[in-house]
Amino acid sequence: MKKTAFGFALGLAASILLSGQTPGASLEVTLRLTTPGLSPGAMVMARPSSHAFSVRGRRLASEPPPAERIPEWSEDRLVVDACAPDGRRISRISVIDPRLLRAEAADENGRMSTQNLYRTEVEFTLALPADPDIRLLRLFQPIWDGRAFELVLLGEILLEAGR
Amino acid sequence: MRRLVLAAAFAALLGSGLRAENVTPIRSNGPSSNRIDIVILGDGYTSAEMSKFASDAEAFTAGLLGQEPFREYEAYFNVFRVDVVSSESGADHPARGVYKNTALDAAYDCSGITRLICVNTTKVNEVLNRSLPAAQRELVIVLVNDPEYGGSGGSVAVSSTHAAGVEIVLHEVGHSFGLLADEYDSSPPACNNTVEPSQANVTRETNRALIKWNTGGGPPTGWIEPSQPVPTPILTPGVGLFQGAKYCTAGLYRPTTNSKMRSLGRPFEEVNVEQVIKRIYNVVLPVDAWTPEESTVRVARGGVASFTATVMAPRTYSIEMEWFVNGAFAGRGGRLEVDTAGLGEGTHRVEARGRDQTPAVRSDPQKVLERPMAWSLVVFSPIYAPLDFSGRKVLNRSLLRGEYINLLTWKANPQNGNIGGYNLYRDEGAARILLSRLGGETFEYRHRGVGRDSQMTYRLTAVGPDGMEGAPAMLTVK
Repeated sequence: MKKTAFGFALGLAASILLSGQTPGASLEVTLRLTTPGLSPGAMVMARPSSHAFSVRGRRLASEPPPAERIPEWSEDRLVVDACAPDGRRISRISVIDPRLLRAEAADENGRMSTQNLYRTEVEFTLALPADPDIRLLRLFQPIWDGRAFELVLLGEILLEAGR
Repeated sequence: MRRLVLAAAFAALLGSGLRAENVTPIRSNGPSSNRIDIVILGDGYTSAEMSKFASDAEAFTAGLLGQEPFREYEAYFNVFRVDVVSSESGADHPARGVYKNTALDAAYDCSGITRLICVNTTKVNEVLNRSLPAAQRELVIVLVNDPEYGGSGGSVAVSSTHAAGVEIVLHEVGHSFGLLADEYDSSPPACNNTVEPSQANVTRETNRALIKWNTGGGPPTGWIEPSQPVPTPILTPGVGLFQGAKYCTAGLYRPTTNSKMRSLGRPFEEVNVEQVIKRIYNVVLPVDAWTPEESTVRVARGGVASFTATVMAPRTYSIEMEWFVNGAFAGRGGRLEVDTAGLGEGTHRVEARGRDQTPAVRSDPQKVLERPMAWSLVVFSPIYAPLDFSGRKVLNRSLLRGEYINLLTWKANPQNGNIGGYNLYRDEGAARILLSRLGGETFEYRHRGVGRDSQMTYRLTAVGPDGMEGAPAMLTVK
C-alpha cells in the first residue's frame, strides 16, 4: 500500500513538474523564522522587530490549500504573499503567528489573565497553490490602526526553482 | 484513507528517514476541502499508553465539540488523532526538578509561569509534516499526559489532561479561530483604549446605533434590545454594552456581563457565537456538493433537467435550498426537476440558494452563511429520429472480387425543422464507432467490405445546426 502511495506522490510531483500548476494541489513550504541577536530558545514579551527567514523544506501535496471565503486578519496572524519572480502576487494567505504564545490562566472563579510571549525561533509550514511560478514569499505583520490593517513587511524569501 | 496513505508517501519523498506517526480519524464528517480539520497530538504518552491517549483524545474531542456553537456545527469538523510515542510518561516540571524525555518536550513553568506548558513547536511541525498535509490542520492541539492544570495558546493550543483543559482550549480557539478578543480587563497586556479594536466582541463605541454588534441599531439585525441601557450595568442579563474589556477597566466595552472570552466555564454568549459561526462558514460552504458540476446544461425541449444540491447538516435544524428559474421561485429541497416543455427555446437561468437561517447570526453583510449557485439551461428544439431507416446486404459484382455492402437508406423526419446533417454509427459491443458524418440531403450510405456472414447494428441520428444530436434510429443488418 505504501508503495502505491509513494508512486502516486511521485506521479503527482512529476505531473506538476511537467504540466505546470496542478489545480487542487498545494505546495507546502516549511520556513524557519529566527530573531537575530536573541538566543534561539528565548521567549520575549514584545513582538520581535527583526527577523530572518530560511526555507527548511518544500514538497507537493494533493490537497488544495485551505481558502477563506472572506479573508480576515488580526494582529495575531501573519499574512503571506506568494509571488512570481517579477513580484506579481499569485496568492495571499494568512496564518496564526507561529511566534505567539498565549500564557492564559484562570483563577479559582474562572476569571482569566494573560501574558503574551513570543518565541524567537520557530518553524512552520505554509500551504500554497502548487503553482511553479511562485518563486518569492513576502511575509507581513498586520497592524491595526483603528480602521484598517496596515501590512508591515517582515521579510522576503526566494524559493529556488525546482527545489 | 488516501490522504493518510499519502502522508506516508510524503515522508518518503522528503527522505526524512522517520516513519509517519499513526493517524486515526476520530470524527470523519466529510472532505477536508469543505470541513475544518482539528488535529490532536499527544505528548508524554508512552507506547504502552496509546490506548489512554485514544481515550483522552476522545474525551477532549467530546468536550470541545460539546459546547455551542461547536455542538450545533459538529458535522462541519473532522478530528484526527496523531499517535506520538514518547519515551517517558508525563511532562517536565522544572521548578520541582522533574524532567521527562517526551517527543514534543512538553514543560510546565515555561518562561517562569507555573501553569504555562510549552512544547517544542519545531518538533510539532515535524510530526505534522510527516503525518498530515498542511491543508488538513486548521486547528492543532497538543494534549499533554499530565493531570496538573496547565496549557497555552497560539498556533498550537496546548492542554494538560486536567478537566479544565478543554475550557482553556475553547477560549484559545475563540482567539485563533474566532478572531475574538479577551473580554477580561486585567492587565498585562497593556490596555489600549485609544482606537477601535479590530475584533468583533470589543468596542469603544458608546453610540447604540454604531456599536458593532448592534447592526441596524437593534433587533432584528442587532443584539441590543431597545430597553437595554447603554452602557449597561454589570450583571444585567442579555446583550448590552458592558464596560471593561481587552485588558482595560474603562474605555472599552464587551457585549455581555460574562462569557468564555472573559471567564472559563461560561458559554461563549450571543455575539461571540455569531462571530464563530461566521468564521466556520468562512471555511465551510453551506452547500457541500451539487450536480451537474458543469455550469451549462442542454436539454431538448420537452425533456427534464435535473439539479441537485447536498447541504451541510447542523445538529438541530436543516439548511434549506431554494430554487429559482428565470428569477421565479421554483421550489425547495435538495432536488429540482425542470420540465422544459413549458420553456421556450433558448437560454434560461436556474439558480439555487442554500442559506443557514440560524437565529444565532443576526447580521451577515458578507453573506458567508449563504451559497448561491447558478446554471445556464439551454433548451433546444427536439430533434427526432430519421424515418424508415432500413438496410440490406448486397453483393457488389463490379469489382474483380465480389464485395459485400450494407446498403442503408432513410428518410428525413418532417417533424424536424432545419437539420445540419446525420451521424451514422456502428455499435461494436459497448462502443459506438462513428462511420460517417453525412449532409442533410443525404439519405443513403454504403458500408463497404462488411463480410458475407457479418451482422452489424447501426444507429443514425439527425444533427441540429448547433451540433446537438437527436434520438437515434436503430437498425441491424444480417
